[in-house]
Amino acid sequence: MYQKVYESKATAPAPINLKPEVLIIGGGIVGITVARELAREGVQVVIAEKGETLGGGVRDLHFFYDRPAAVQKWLGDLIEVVEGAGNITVLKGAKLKRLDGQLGRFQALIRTSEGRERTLSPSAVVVATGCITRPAEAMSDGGRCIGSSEMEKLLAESRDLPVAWKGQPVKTVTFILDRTDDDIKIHTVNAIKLAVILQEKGCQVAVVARDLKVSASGMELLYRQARGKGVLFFKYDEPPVLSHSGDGISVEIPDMTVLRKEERETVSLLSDLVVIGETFAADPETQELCRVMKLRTGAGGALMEDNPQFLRVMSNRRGIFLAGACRFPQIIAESLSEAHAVVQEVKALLHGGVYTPVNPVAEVDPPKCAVCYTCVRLCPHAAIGVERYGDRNVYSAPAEKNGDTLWQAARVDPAACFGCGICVAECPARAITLYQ
Amino acid sequence: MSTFEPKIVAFCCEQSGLPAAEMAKTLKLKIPDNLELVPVPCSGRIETLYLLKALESGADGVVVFACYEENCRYLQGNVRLKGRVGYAKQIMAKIGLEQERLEIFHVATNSGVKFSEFLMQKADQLRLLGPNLGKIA
Amino acid sequence: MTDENNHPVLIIGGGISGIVCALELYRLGVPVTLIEKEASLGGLAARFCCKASEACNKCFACVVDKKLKEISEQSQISQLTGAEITGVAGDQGSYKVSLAKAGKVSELEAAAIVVAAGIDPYEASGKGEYGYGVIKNVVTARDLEEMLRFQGKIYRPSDGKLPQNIAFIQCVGSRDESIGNLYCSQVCCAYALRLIRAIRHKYPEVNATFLYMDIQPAGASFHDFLNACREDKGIRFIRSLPSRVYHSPVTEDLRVRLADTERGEVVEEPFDMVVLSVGMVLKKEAKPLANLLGLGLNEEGFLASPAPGNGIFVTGACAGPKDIDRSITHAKSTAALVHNYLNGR
Ligand SMILES: Cc1cc2nc3c(=O)[nH]c(=O)nc-3n(C[C@H](O)[C@H](O)[C@H](O)COP(=O)(O)OP(=O)(O)OC[C@H]3O[C@@H](n4cnc5c(N)ncnc54)[C@H](O)[C@@H]3O)c2cc1C
Ligand SMILES: Cc1cc2nc3c(=O)[nH]c(=O)nc-3n(C[C@H](O)[C@H](O)[C@H](O)COP(=O)(O)OP(=O)(O)OC[C@H]3O[C@@H](n4cnc5c(N)ncnc54)[C@H](O)[C@@H]3O)c2cc1C
Ligand code: SF4
Ligand code: SF4
Ligand code: SF4
Ligand code: SF4
Repeated sequence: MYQKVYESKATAPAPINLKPEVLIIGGGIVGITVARELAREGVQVVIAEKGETLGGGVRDLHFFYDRPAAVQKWLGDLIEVVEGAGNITVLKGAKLKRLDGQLGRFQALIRTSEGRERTLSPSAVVVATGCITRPAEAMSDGGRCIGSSEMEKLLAESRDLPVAWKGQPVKTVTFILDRTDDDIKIHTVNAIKLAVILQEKGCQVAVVARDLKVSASGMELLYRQARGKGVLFFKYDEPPVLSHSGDGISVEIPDMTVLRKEERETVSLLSDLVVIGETFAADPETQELCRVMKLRTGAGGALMEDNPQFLRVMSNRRGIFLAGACRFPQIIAESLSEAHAVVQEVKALLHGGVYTPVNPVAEVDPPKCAVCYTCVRLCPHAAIGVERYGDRNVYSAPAEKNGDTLWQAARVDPAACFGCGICVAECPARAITLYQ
Repeated sequence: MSTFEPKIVAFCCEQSGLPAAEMAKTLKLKIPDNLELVPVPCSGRIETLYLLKALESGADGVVVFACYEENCRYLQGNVRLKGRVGYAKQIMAKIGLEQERLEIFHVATNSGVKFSEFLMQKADQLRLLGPNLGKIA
Repeated sequence: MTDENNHPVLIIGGGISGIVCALELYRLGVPVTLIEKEASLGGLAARFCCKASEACNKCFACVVDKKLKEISEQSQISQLTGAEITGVAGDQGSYKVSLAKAGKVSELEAAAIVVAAGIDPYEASGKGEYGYGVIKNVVTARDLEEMLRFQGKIYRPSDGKLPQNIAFIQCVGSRDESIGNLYCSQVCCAYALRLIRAIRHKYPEVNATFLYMDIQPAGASFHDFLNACREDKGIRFIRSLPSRVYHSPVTEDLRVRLADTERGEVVEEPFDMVVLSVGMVLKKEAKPLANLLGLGLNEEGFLASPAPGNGIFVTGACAGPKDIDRSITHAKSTAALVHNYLNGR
């Protein structure tokens, strides 16, 4: 009654050889973790980092919330391993300019800051470009409102001495959370972690938040520990009002612990310093990267939309994976779990050294193709390109290539096709068939 | 009502509709008697023509079981489908076929109960509408 | 049982974590044996319902069904259901595991053991003040999930009618000093809000009240989802955990005693039904297993990660609260580590 959904075909698409070579874009903690793990497997790894140093966002961190180790030492050791490994090449000041081809035939053009270019042919690409942080919107004159990474630095530098800011002692600190980024738990984790340290150093700390996001291993215990040490916690529905008061800042919020509205008073927290967590945002360059790599973007310009059936670390293209803060800012432990999941995906892909296309796959019948680019535009997996390969085409003019006459037509790369059939249904010339 | 038992053609996305149908079967839920299931790899595979052909060649109602939006295994299939069903409905309006004869219904793998409930409702609705006058067969 | 089950890797627990770990190792060409004590694979999450409203709300329940199908088609992975571990001998990469299945005892050898024993929902009757098990119309979120999955509707257990007014009480069994569970279960805020959205989509006339301490985010799209919840006029957010649930034995209607911060007073609000958003605790059966394997518990009461290098791994929610999404990511990362271990790296 209607044409068949699939056609069957005797000859299966040929397997594609995959060399153990992987390109990693972004040398943050996720990028270097993936690099180290894959290098241990004997994979040749190239890290393309746009900055001049490895480490990414973690370079601004000094304390873990869940273990006593010093972050910079841990990071330094890791970077040393990665930079010293024989089969890892680190390109600094490097940007991906082009990515052509498909799984098994990727051609990546990388330009470094000195203007040198390198062409790589990786079997898989891992995107770990992280996110950027914007300074918290401070008060008009910017004074005495600092970001959370500045507070980390202050604490790391003060060592055993009392905390001081621009030469003045700091006695009272207030953290204000959730003015932006109310879906990211890093701010709560950071604030409580720093509050405990500050309180131990003799400061009086208050944390003002909409919700305390303690959904991380060990966080509820740390929260209780902070309360035990005398850190004050206030929750708000309306963000607090800040004003200058003497040498400090006054943070005013209604005291919600008092139930009766008429008795509810406004609490003023007089603070020497106010800490407002940086806002996380997608790197504007991600847009350009996604254009070059034909990747999809999701909410706020971050990589990939949130889609349960398309599990976390996958991108819309076969052979390209993503992990870490480029998709969603998370605490380090969760980012690293993703990094290891990517390692697993890459290992599974490279396992055996060949990729055999799985059924079904779409195929264009070149003579029928009108080169209208509909399928190229609509394939969600960027599996179709227009190439000169047909020996006959009713619609488009032939071109000479090596003395042979070749016609232009759309071509589906079987290694990249997911077999959804969207192109088949959309082709106005009915030139595409889905083969089982 | 008379003994009219409407024929329903249900296109089932293999990522959601088909497993839901299987779940309905294992749970032994009621489904209409005169039902034809057409598995498709993704609802995005369904051409506008399939929908109209099905109506032309004997179906009283056509249902597409697709994944919920933002949960397509191929990211965009159900979005493409929506456009095509809209187009098919325009054509149906022009030739005087009732809009109720074509519908998208979103399910997940675990929506066996919804699958059966929806089809039973659809069968009732079609029974009231009467046979599809557009069919040729 | 015969040699065909003597695979280098033994995975204990056939929930989503165990299944994913098995599938991933299989992709690397490592033969595995998967052991599940229940009659079928899937674990807790295989009985959840879809929580979509207009669009998918990313609860990940359908992914479990898909992975279950995937593994059922994988004949090369030995899947032993209705089987339990009774003893473990040996160490460091050559373990001898005794197994009881249908009354028969057998022995397996394994180089690596992955524990994916999972979690139990918190036993809500432990919070006597909410009356679970005594008051008919107090149900747990798990009961509600199963109601929606297998019957496709919600109803009051007392009279089968559609409840018009539902209260969701958060943090039942988590973040609670009185019962000693000093951790956040990380999933219940998100699943409760998704359930509310799904119910409001199906029954727009039903109103819900969300009683909570703090809202925990989940995933990249949570911001938009939460905004949609806040804009929904049929959902009331009250930051206060109730102290008690009362019921009328005649009408089976409920009264919930709570501090309403909006009105500024302690009130007793009437509700048709109360849903307890239960958190997670380590699976009962995981403790004897931990003893057999010499595993300790961490300060939150979940399985502590074992010292590296002896071929024992812990994955999924038994290592600490995780949603399905993060259980899958964790299981994948564990598979890579197991593979490294087998190759002496
Ligand atoms: C202020 C702050 C506080 C934090 N506090 C905590 C905390 O307390 N606890 C916790 O667990 N986590 C915390 N985090 C989170 C933690 O830093 C992140 O989880 C981690 O940095 C994510 O690593 P990543 O590798 O994904 O990204 P990043 O660390 O952001 O690394 C990305 C790298 O990619 C490079 N790059 C970007 N674009 C390109 C491109 N187009 N081409 C080439 N290279 C590119 C960047 O230069 C960078 O080096 C905090 C983060 C910040 C910013
Ligand atoms: C009420 C509730 C609602 C939830 N809703 C959601 C949600 O909407 N979205 C979401 O992402 N997450 C949700 N979660 C979390 C989700 O349930 C877990 O993430 C998931 O079940 C973890 O999977 P697992 O495989 O680690 O453990 P489990 O699913 O618990 O599986 C463990 C398996 O191991 C078996 N086992 C245990 N011990 C042994 C033994 N000794 N021998 C043999 N077999 C054994 C068990 O029988 C079980 O089958 C919810 C949790 C609860 C409590
Ligand atoms: S949609 Fe059809 S006609 Fe157009 S380019 Fe693709 S194959 Fe050719
Ligand atoms: S079947 Fe789908 S993935 Fe394959 S080429 Fe067509 S649209 Fe792209
Ligand atoms: S709401 Fe949950 S079960 Fe439903 S489609 Fe989305 S992820 Fe799947
Ligand atoms: S996720 Fe929400 S309900 Fe669950 S324990 Fe944490 S705060 Fe409480």
